[in-house]
This record gives sequence, C-alpha cells and structure tokens, in this order.
Amino acid sequence: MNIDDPKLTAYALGELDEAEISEIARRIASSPEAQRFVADTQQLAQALRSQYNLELETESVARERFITNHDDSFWSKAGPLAIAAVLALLAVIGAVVFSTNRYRLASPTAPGYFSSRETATARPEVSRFGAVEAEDTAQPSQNLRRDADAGPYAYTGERPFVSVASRPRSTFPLLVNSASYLEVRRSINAGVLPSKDAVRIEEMINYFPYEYPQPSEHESFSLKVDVVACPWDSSHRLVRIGLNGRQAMGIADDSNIEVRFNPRRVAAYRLIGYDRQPSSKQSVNEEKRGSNRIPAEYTVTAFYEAILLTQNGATADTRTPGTPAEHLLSARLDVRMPDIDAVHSIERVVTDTGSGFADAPQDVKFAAAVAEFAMILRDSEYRGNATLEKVIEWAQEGKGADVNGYRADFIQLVRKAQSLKRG
Amino acid sequence: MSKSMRIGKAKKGQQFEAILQRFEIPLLQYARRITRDHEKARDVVQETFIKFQRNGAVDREDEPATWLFTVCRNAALNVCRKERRITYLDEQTLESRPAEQPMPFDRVEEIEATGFLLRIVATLPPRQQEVIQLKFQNDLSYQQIAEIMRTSANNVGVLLHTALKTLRQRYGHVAEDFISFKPRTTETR
Repeated sequence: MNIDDPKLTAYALGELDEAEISEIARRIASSPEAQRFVADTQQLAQALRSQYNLELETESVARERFITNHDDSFWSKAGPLAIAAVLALLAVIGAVVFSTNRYRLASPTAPGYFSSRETATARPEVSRFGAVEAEDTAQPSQNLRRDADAGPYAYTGERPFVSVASRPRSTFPLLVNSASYLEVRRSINAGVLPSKDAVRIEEMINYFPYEYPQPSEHESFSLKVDVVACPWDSSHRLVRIGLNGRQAMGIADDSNIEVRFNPRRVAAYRLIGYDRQPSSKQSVNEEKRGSNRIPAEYTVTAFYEAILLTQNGATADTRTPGTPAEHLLSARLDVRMPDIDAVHSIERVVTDTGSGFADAPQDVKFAAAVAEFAMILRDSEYRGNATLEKVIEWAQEGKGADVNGYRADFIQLVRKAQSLKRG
Repeated sequence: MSKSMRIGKAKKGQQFEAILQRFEIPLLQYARRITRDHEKARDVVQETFIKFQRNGAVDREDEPATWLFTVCRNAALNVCRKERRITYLDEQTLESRPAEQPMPFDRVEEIEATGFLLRIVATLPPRQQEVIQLKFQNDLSYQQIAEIMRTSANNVGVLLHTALKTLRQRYGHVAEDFISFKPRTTETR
C-alpha cells in the first residue's frame, strides 16, 4: 500500500473514527512497510511530546525557581536505589561539613527557638527598630491575626529594622515563589500600576535566574554571601545571600537559612521582603506533606539591609564597635530531607571588605534593582533615595549576558512603569 | 498531559494562575513564530490573557487551549496585518518558502539540552511548525487545530503528515544515533 497517505499518520495518532480505523487496519495488516510507518510515526510523536515536555519544564523551572507541586510518586518511583545514593552522598558531605562557627552570640531566645519554625514568612515585627521583644517566635497565623486588631503598633506591611542586640538571628525559608513578578508584569503591561498587595519583593527578586557558584563535587548546595554599600542608602550595607542547589530531592518546607549578625559590628538589620504569606501558588499546594521536591538546578536570593555599629553613629547603641576585620555575620543553611531523615548544613562566616555598590557583582546590582523597583511600587518607607531612573541604571549595569532576555524585559517593564507614574 | 492544570476545585485566581503557568510559554512560542518578533509576541500573549480574564473565560469548564490559541493567533495575525507584512495566511507563499531558521529558543545551550528534534521542527515551513506545536506540545485534536487555524481537519492531517515525513527524513540524515528517537523496524504493539 502507499504509505505516503495522511490517513496512515492520522491512524498512528489515533485521529480516525471507528469506520476508518477498521478499514486502515485491514490494509496495514498486509503491509509490513505500512506497519513500520505507523510504528515510526508513533515513536516520532512520542519523542516530540517528550521533548516539548522537557522544554516546558526547563522554561518553567527557570521562571518559577521552584516546582511547588509536590510529586507524591517521586520517591516511590525513584525507589531505594536513589535513597541509597543520597545516603552515600550524605556520608561524604558529613565529612566536609563546614564548622566555621568560631563564636557564639549570646542568644536572647529560648533553646527551642531554632526549631520552632521561625520562618520569615509573614512574621511581621510589630514595633520599630530597637524595641523588638523575644516573643517573636509566634506562628505566622497568629501574627496575621494580630494585624487585624491593629492597635498602636499596627503592622505596616513591611519588616522593620531589628536591633541586633535584642535579636541577632534571622531566618528565611528556602522555598520561595515567583508568581508576583508575573502579576506585576501583567499589570504594568496592561497599563495599570499594580496594587501594593500584588508586589512581593522576594518573589520578584527570585523570578530571575542568578549565577551562583556550582556546589562542589560532594555537596548539593552552595552558599554565597556578598556585602556592598546599599545603593538606596549609602550609609547602610546591603547583604546578598545566594544559594544554589542541585540534586532533585525532597526537602522539608521548613528548611531555611539562618543569619546571625555580629552585635559588635551590626546595630540593626532588616530582611527585605518575606513580609506576608506567599502568593496564590502556595495555596494550590495545600495538600503537600510538608515536603517539596526541588528541581535539579535552582537558586534562592535574599537581601538584608544592615546598619553598622559605629562609635558615634546615628543609633542609640552604646556598645563599643568591633573592628572591620571582625566578621559581620554568619549564614547557615539547614536543609531537612524528611525522606531520608537527614539534615544538611553549610555555614559561612562573612567579613565586610567595604565594597562600594559600583564594585558589586552584576547579579547583585541587578537583584538590587529589582528589590528597589518592588519597594518603589510598594511605596515602601525603606525605599530610600532611589528612583526608577536609578533602578534602570543599576539593572543595565547588572544586565550581564542575559541569555534568555528576562533582564532586558525587566528594564522595559521599569520604563513602562515610569511612563505610567508620569501619566 | 500530566502537567495540565489541576483546576477542579481550585479558586478562580489559582485557576488563572495555573492556566497562565501552563500556557504562557507555548503561546509565546506560538506568537513569536507568527510575528517573528519577541517583543510583539509578548504583547500578543499579554493581550490574550487579558481578554481571557475579561471574558470570564476562566469560568469555562472546557479546555481553554482552543480558545487561547485561537485568540492568540488572531492577535498575532493582526500585528502582522497592521505592519502590512506578508500575511501569515498567505499559504502559497509560505508553504513553498524555503526553510527558515527562527529557533524556538534564544539560547543555543538550551536547544541542545532540549533536544535535537525541536531544532529540526524549527526548520519546517511555519504552518507545519504550527500544527506540530499544537498537536504534540498541546495535545490538541485535528478538529481543535482546524478550528484554531481556520482550516479543515483534513488539511491539518495533510500538514501534519507532510511535516512528520520531512522531520523523519531530516532527522535520519542528521543524527542516526540520537537516543530519543530511533526508527524501529518492527511494530511492538
């Protein structure tokens, strides 16, 4: 039979109705050549489907940073082999774990503090800098309720500066969405500045891919910390914490990064963003079992704005500041992997070399531009003296190779926002 | 498709979010092929989603794919018309036009990672690329594709058949040892 017949392709793809199927099937039965054609077509179709699928996955990971849909069947499919492999990996990691914990900060909090799910999500501090109480270990939901009955210390919608003397430790979660950026983008492109509520700083920052060092051979994560002058307030320091992870594995959603500021160096700090419940995506995920599978390649980026302790500084702090050679902070990553009942930790001790913003790495400049853009859109009281012009300038300086065009698109978006603001 | 949205009981906002997540990239690729311009494609997709939201199409129980691709296609064609370019619908010109190279991605490594086949797809005439994308990326039926492309299911069948044939030939030439797709000699059904 003639195999150059669209009917055969339609047959192979299941597009024929029953009458046609039986007719074609009869013809195929007597033609090995037609049988081959049908089989090849189905193979080709399958290959196309899987390549499109892979392509979409690659793109969505780049966009979302996280697959938030928990894949229940992953571990059952991956089976004991994968678990054994991870265990072997962990054994190696165990030998290499960083223990650079050279100091102990006096902790104002109870011993159980760390394990108490003190994630940064929706943990509004109720007072301004200098008066934060240790009761802050409350659950997010309680904090939100506290918002509702407002009172004199009504939650202003942002995390304020926190005194290091009263609380040297701060944590933020590893799992972060990026949906807010798309919402903001949609809105601006449609000619409307987004509502403040739609703007989530950490989600906007984490929409973009950043180049962090690959984890070393035996590790699953790398942690990079940079300290530069804060571009919107040059008297402050901007701390960028970047995490790069690989290995698809289940991690608990309370996995976090804890930052401890050295009270001899830092008077106060502020975690940028992370001030409300994550946006809609999270709730799609309600049925998750407290565990998320992270994709093979992902990054998390967070910023702290820090006020240094100075002898005659603007703060009311009377302590003697340490020398710049002393460490500024330490950052510790704790990833809990419930599937194998293990915790993976990395710690970095960071000193501030006094870099100006001009010398900041490109990724830091770009991410800072996104952060400032978000703060301007939210009309944040911490937005400092920056403007949308500045945002564009930093973003351009930090654009880098921009292989997928996301950063150029961001710059366009800021320009549109600029004209909307003027209009 | 496994990544299709789990809409069922989810609320409207989440529904929209899910649809956006699922279709934004396919629509971008689709619009880019027609407009041949990344920025314009973005605008077209933007416009499509705005219409989708405005029309309350989110409430529709049926598959939103046909709706989205149809609206996206019309918007993209409008862009071409406005610029008085050769319209995409001019089949005679287009079907006979020699293969062009608008890569589905901006970045070579990404293409490498994604696979060879899609690179070859990008060398097909535009309308053949269109049916391939709608069929294999979005799992649409001949009938749905015909509706979107304003043609007959029969014509979709011919386009697809021709596209697959070319694909098979070019593929065989370029990468005989490529793993994902090896023509087999026997049927394994």
